[in-house]
Amino acid sequence: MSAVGPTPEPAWLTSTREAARARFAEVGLPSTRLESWRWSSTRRLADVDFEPATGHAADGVEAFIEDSRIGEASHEHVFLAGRHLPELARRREVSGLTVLPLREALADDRLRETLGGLAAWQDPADAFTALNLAGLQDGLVVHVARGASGGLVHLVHVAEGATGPTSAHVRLLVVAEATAELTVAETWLGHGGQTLTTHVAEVWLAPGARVTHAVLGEEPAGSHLVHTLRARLDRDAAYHGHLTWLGGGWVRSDVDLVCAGSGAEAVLDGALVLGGEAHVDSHTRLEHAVPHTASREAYEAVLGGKARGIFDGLVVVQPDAQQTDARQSSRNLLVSADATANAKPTLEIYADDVKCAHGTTVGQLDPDQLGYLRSRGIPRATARQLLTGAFVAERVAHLPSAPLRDRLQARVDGALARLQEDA
Amino acid sequence: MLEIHDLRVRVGDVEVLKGLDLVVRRGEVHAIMGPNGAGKSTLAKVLAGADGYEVTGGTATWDGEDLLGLEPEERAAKGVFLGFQYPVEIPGVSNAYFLRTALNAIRKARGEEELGAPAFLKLLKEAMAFLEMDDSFRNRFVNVGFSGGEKKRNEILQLLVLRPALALLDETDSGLDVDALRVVSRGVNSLRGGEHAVVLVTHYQRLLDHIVPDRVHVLAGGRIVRSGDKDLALQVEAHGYADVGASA
Repeated sequence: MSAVGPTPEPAWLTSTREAARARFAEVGLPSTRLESWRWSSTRRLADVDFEPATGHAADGVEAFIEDSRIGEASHEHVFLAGRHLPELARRREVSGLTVLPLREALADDRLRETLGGLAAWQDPADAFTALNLAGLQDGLVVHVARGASGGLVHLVHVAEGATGPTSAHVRLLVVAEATAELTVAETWLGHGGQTLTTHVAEVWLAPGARVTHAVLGEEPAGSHLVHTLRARLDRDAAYHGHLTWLGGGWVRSDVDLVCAGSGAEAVLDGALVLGGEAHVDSHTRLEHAVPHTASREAYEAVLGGKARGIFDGLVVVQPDAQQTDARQSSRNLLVSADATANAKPTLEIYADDVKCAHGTTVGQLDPDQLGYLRSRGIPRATARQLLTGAFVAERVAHLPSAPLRDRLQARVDGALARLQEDA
Repeated sequence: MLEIHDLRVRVGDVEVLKGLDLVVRRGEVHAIMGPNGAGKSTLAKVLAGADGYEVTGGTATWDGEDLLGLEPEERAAKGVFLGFQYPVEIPGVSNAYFLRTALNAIRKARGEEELGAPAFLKLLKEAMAFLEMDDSFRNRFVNVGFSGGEKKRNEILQLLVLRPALALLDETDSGLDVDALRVVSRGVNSLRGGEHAVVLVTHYQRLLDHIVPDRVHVLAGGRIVRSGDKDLALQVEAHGYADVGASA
């Protein structure tokens, strides 16, 4: 395994990578015997020789990502099979915002405390994070200075497996200093073929920082994405994670948000529109570590074809975390006979003065709503389409950034239309 | 013209309508009154094609065409409209999008050209202004977070946009304050005369002060037991149903 890039790799990273590599060799891919992996077998990955993609040209990528670009972004960075493509990057000078490819950022010794500081890799359930460290190729480091407004930073990842199975191991590190503001967006695309991508995003929010983090997954069938997201919220910080999965591939989304300072508020939205044989396993953990914090988690899934959507959500309220206000919900709409939803919401509450609520539904379209629409002249098929779209519309509407929301609505509409065609 | 003859309807094991006869001509407003459980709502719903009502006998036609065999959306295309007693909330669908989809579905079913966004918006804005509805209701999800009165006003908005030939209004006055009642009545009255027929299902005379009916019918025990002009409603208000021949 080669070093990350032209900048000499710091010794601390090299030794961490060695340790992670050894750990991964020891524990291997997670097995379904692990409770947190019970719904997602990794056996399909074991039989494929995924190799890091090397040296292929970025030809055609520019046209391929054109529809995914966001004109309003202050920074836009494109990765092909895990490698940063500087020629496709767009940069706009924003006061207080620093965005660097990981290989360039490594010279900064502060990374030693932040890179890997939130994403543990020793536990067998975190084997993909160990693999990510061992094979780490590149990534992006985003820093927003105290009080600065970083605008919108967009990462576009393109998986590339057309010439044989490839792997990519990438990272995102976001540090938002006190009262800084940032919107970060990730778009996951793929050219097809067999691909395995591991991604670890770590987001540090200093007191009063506000970060919106929007993830849009559209990798096609044949792709495998292990998407790990960790955020730590200091006092009065606000983090809004918004994950939308529309692709045809296999996704493991692993989210862990920690409200570590009082007044912190974590929001986590998940929207899934899946058909074909798509498989998306959302494994989320929201921890309330101190008093007076709040979390809102809502996942909504429209599942058609033979797709499977899994929600395994845990809210943890630590013994000191009085006055916690946590709400969690998972709603699933099955629009085909062969689609599957698994939902396992869990609350672990060790404090007594808290407000926690959770709920899960798995169902078909509401007959009263269908009846109401039809009574107004809307034919049954149109009414079904309208209600299916409505099911995830609230999640789309919840994305606070207008340009991202408009793009997302168009993509969700496209995914819903594909589901109708399949039906 | 709405013609109902010997209509019999079951809900589960219970026969609710037991041979109901009613004729409503275009241009007329009829009020159906009656005690709780008399079958007033059942009549409105079965005409609109709601689920859960089994027609066991009789006929109901609009302009000579059978209604009871049609899907709800087909009835809507023929001009039947039910103002719901409990309007349904539809999270995720905006009021404007819902109404435009409905209007254009009906126009399409009739072989008419669909209405473009600007023309529709103009129509919608006019109707909302007429009903003194805030612009924000356009983009809010259908009935979600609306008060009881706002939901009823929203039903009347749909009535004004779709302009049905036959409007069946099920307890539209319940839950309305005086101002809302005035506005809702103005909406219904705008359909008066001409081509529209209106059937008001109501509990109270109050609504009929604002929408003066051409005919009043008392429905009890699954049948129309008495019909008259608007004075019949006053009589009911003053003396109760028993006195007009309808024991609850």
